[in-house]
Amino acid sequence: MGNKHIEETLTDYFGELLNEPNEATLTAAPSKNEVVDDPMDVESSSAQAKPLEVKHAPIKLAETKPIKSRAIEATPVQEAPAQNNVSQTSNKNLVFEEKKSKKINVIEDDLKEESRQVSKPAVGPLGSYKKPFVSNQELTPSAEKPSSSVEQSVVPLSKASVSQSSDAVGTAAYQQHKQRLERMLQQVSALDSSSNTIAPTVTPPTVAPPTTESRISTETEVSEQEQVDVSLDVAAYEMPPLSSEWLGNGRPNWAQEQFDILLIEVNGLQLAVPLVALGQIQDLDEEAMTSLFGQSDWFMGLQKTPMGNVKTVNTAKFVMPERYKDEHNYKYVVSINGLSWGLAVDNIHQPISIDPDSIRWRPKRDSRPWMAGMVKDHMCVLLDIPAMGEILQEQDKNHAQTTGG
Amino acid sequence: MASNAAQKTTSDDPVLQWVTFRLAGETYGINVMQVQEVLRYTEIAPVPGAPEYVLGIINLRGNVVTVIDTRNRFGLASGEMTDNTRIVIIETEGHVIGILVDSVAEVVYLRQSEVETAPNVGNDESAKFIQGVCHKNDELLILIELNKLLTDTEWAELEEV
Repeated sequence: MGNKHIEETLTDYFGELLNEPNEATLTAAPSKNEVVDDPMDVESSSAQAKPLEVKHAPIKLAETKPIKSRAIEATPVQEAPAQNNVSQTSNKNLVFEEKKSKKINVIEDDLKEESRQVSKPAVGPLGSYKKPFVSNQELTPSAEKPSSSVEQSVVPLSKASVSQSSDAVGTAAYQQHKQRLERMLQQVSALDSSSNTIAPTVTPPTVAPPTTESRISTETEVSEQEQVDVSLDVAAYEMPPLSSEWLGNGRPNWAQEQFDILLIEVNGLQLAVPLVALGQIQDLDEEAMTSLFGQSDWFMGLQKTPMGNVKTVNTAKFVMPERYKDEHNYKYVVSINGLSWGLAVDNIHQPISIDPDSIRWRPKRDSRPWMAGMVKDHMCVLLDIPAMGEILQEQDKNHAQTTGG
Repeated sequence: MASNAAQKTTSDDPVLQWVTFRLAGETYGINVMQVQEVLRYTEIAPVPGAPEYVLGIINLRGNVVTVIDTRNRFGLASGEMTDNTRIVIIETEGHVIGILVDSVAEVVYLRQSEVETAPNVGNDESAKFIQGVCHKNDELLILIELNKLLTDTEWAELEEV
């Protein structure tokens, strides 16, 4: 019982207060103007209560204060039999007061026990609520706990007097309060469990899919009826671009097995491009190409194709500006798969199937990341078209704004 | 309202009218609501100390109007004056200015949904003048956002011309 917590003892205490008739008079702190049955008793009680105040100092003030006031009023009961001028009515009250004072002493005894266990970490309100309640029988024999010299000097109560405190009123009050607290605990646990169950029911976004669906269907209607060109545009780029990721074996994602390359000529230089990363090949018509002002010099313009506008890149100026001659002989635009970008080339040869081992892959691609390696058999540079596509997309500020990049 | 007349709204896809003109072999479009009138080429009086994109000033019915060298502003090579050269008087940002163009073509109707985003690669500031591109009559129109044609600082410079 020495481990009984302050909350439990206070629970007993307040439980009694709630059920006993003289609650108001008992809880009220005595003032100078207050009418007391025997002023002498008050004086003596205050004298007895002093040591208690000192003992309770380390404990929370809010908890010790009411107990102190109880002790002040209750102490006269101990000396009541010695008073001859007490009336019959006050005698009854005093008997009741005596019982209460004994209980209070038990409570204070427990509080002191708690105050001795300063080193123990404080238990939060919820933690103390969750502890199993101690039965009344466990509460009453407080004298069985190991008593210290301090306790004995402060609370000189015998076993008999302690057992008297566990009277019918106290037990009923305790039981009632216990039940009330248990009900509260149930409510709290119910609240906890309900809060746990609410979260998953709210989180699934069930509304979003129909909204998206309806929006898409509306757009589809418009594009089918009035926007034929736009629908072609969408069809051209609906294939996602190839990933530019390089794997641990030092090869790009698209060159893990045997793959096809296309040999192209750009400004007199032969280059190789992976076939899988290409989209379409269109004739280049510079007359029909729309040039836009304010762009980089490697940007030739917009090439109109049946699949939409292709942003055409002057390939030689993009990959080797230092070697570029102003005269070029571009005949074709090779578009990048999944993107609206295309590379202007002079000539295109037949595709060749090639083994990844026949290419000297670049270990570092910090500079010129569009260069994947060298095709040993043809001694030409293999372009990393997916990486080049990413670079071009990043260069386009309007694309970055659209995609939030 | 005039603006409502020029802007036929079909559901959420407004139809806008654009005045098209030619410049250095390309066709451009400007919002018809910002065009006040189109003038034949007249003598432009140069202004000493004016910014390089300013050709000079003209007298328009008693009002002095500054004429902008559009080719210079767009970063294009300079051209020669022809019989088709026009000065388009526009109003933008509360200012009235003239822009010199190779020729004025027509007024076209374009749906908002038909306008595509133009690429913007490079660091040239003039790229911000392009609002978008749009296919019309088998050619690609470059739509110009006149409100971005000059910055606040440049407008202040024009006031001093």
